[in-house]
Order: sequence, then structure tokens, then C-alpha cells
Amino acid sequence: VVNLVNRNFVPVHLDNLDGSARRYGMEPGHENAYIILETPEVPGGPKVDTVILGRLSQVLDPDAARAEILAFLERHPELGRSAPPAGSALEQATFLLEEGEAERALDLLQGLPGSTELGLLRAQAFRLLKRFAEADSELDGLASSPEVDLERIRLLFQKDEGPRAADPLDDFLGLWAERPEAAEAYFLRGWLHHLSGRDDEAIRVWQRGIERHPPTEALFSQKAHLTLIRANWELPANVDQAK
Amino acid sequence: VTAAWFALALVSGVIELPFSGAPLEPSRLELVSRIPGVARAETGAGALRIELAQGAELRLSTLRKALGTRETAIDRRRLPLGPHTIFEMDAGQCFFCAERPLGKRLSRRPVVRRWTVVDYAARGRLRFRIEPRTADATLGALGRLPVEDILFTTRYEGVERVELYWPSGGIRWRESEKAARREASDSAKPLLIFPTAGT
Repeated sequence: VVNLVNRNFVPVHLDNLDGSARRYGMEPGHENAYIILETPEVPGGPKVDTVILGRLSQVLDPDAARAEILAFLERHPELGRSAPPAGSALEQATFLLEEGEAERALDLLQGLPGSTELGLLRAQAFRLLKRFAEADSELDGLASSPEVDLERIRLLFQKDEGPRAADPLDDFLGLWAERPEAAEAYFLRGWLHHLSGRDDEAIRVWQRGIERHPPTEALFSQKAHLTLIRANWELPANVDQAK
Repeated sequence: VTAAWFALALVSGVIELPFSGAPLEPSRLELVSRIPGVARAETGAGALRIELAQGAELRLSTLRKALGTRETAIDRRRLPLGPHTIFEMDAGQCFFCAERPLGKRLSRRPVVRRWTVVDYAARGRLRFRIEPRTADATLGALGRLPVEDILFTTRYEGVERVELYWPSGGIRWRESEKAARREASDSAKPLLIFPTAGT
């Protein structure tokens, strides 16, 4: 979703303390929408199209938000959606996977000579398509590395087998704690503790990850930071936090 | 007051906490010096003098536990309100919703010049600093506040208020609405607008 936004939109935060969002039906101080998609104002151009997502919801579900963003872009082909860069099939597939376009990525990867990078991309695509057996099979043939080990862990979470990821996550953090990928592993390990009702342990793991990988550098540390802050608030049920 | 008051910041990492009652027993002082983050502790002239390690935070509750005696106690009424004195409360809800009632209470206190939230901490804790009208103001002048604990730390030196919007989730937010609207029109790209009310 972040990649879709950065590539296709001009994102701006609107501070609604002063009522600047009143034109969207929001009273000052209220936060009854999370994301607004809006076509640009062009003198003499078409009427501005505004879509408000997630009204009255606490947190947007990423899958639903992605679908809404894609529908908005499809409805406005005149805005021109970003396209994969000219480059190798692997580079193009990576670009597509970054936007969640798993089918198109798999098409591009067909018939290419086998390599770790190819296997990893195919495993990611299969995971996004929920074709878990094929993802498993791709990963089975790959040697251990931070990227491959983390993909195996992600797959366990996607298969709703998160608790089985506890030992692999501990192993990962034992081996690769300083690697940039470890920020995600810290978040997931803390999340498993949280799910087991061990919030103190979860906060300890998140804090350790934040110390090693500052939130300004690692998205998963941002997520860990926000999650540990609101650990005594009711977490929204509509979103799988491990995604 | 502001410059003089901020000059009280712990350049050397030393805080002085007035205590009342009997002189502190050496064994208690030893316990205080063993609190994580305390580099050195000594007493003199009715005050406990504590040198904090760089970036460490010392909780008043931890200190009171270490003192553990009814005969000697930190005198909260005489405790100076310095830039390193950070108040922590359990917001228990959206920070914006918690800040408003807190602000109302603080604005009624004549001793308060202004206050700012310097950080959000684990489990919905809000950390704020109170800048008094006079540099010699003490906690006693504030009266009762809805705080759970008081921290002493140099961690927030130079931090006027918490940066609310750094958790961007990787999205490259533009500087202003005006700039974003202009860019959207010029580049024929749609806007993605994220309205919040300060949280």
C-alpha cells in the first residue's frame, strides 16, 4: 500500500485541529476518516473526484485499502499509473511484488533460469496469492539466509501458524539481529508474545528492536513503537497486526 | 524565565532532590546508587544529589522504594520543577482525548507558564514537561496532578515537544497542503489526504 501511494499519489497530512478538514465533513478535532483520495484540481479540467476511505473505522485494513486505491486509479486512467521500470525480468517482478501484483510478477518469472533470487521472488508471489504449498516448495530448495529465513517466517504467519514461528524467530534474532531485516523479526516476535498475553515480554522485545533499528530507519520499528504505546488500548479486531 | 529555566538542564547529569526527616542511612544511599542509570549518589545539606548516566531516567517511585523508610523521604513539595522533571500519566485512550482535560487542569494553575508533551511511552503513557512562571517553582506549588510517576532524565533535553508525525509508515508526506495541491495539479497525480486531529 505504501509503495502504491508513494508511486501514484501526492500524500499530504492535514491537521484537523483547526477545522481545515471541514470541507470533507469533518468537524474540528474529529478524526472520522483516515484517508481521502482526490483527483487534482486542473483549471478547466474535470470535476474533482473525492473518495473517503475508512470513515469511522479505527485502522484501515491494508487489503481493503489496496483494493480501493487500485479501483480509484482504474477509474482515472487519465492520471497515468506508474509502470515497472525497463530492466531485467527480476527487477520488474520485484517492482510488481512491491505493489502486491503477484500474478503479473509470476508471469514475468516463468521460464527464467533458477537462482536464489528467483526462488525467493516466486515464494513471495505464491505467499501473496495464498498458494502456500507452492511457496513452501520454492523455499525448500533455498539455502538459509536472512531473506530466505524471514520469508519462511512470514509464510508461517500467513498460514495462520504464527505460534510455530517462535523458534525460527529466536534463531533468526540469534543469528541476524544486526541485519536490517531483523526489525521485522523483532516486531513479529513481540507480536507473538503479545498474542500469548505476555505484554511485558512483548514490550521488552519491541524496545530491543527499536534500540537496534531506530524507527526513523526501519518501518517495522515504527510499527513496534506505535504498538507498544497503545498496548493498553483496545486493538482493532478488523486488522491482522502481523501483516 | 524560559532561557534561565532551560539553563537548569542537567549538563552534568546531576539532580538535587530535597529530603525531609532523618539523615539518610549509608545502606540506603548504597541502594540508591545501585539503581540502574544512577552513576553516583551522595547526600548533603538536606538534599540527595544524584548523578545520572547519559540518557538514563530515574523514576521517583523507584527512588522512594530504594529509600524505603518512613524516617527519610523525598520532599515532593520542595522538589524543583526543572526541564529534566518529566511527568508521566496513563492516558489510557487516544492521546488527543487525554491531553485536553489535562491541559484544562494545568492552565488553571498560576504557577504553570506552559506545558508540552515530550514523548509517548509504552502502554499509553503520556510524558509531559511543565515550564513554570518562575525559575524557583516547586512541585508543591502545582498541587495535585493526575500523574502516575515523575521521571528525572536528560533524555528530552532539546526536545520541546513530541514529534507527532514521524511514524509515516514510509509514506513521503509533503511539507504542506498548498505545496501538495500544486504538485498534484502540475504532475496530474491524485492527492492522498490523511486528516488527523493531532494524534
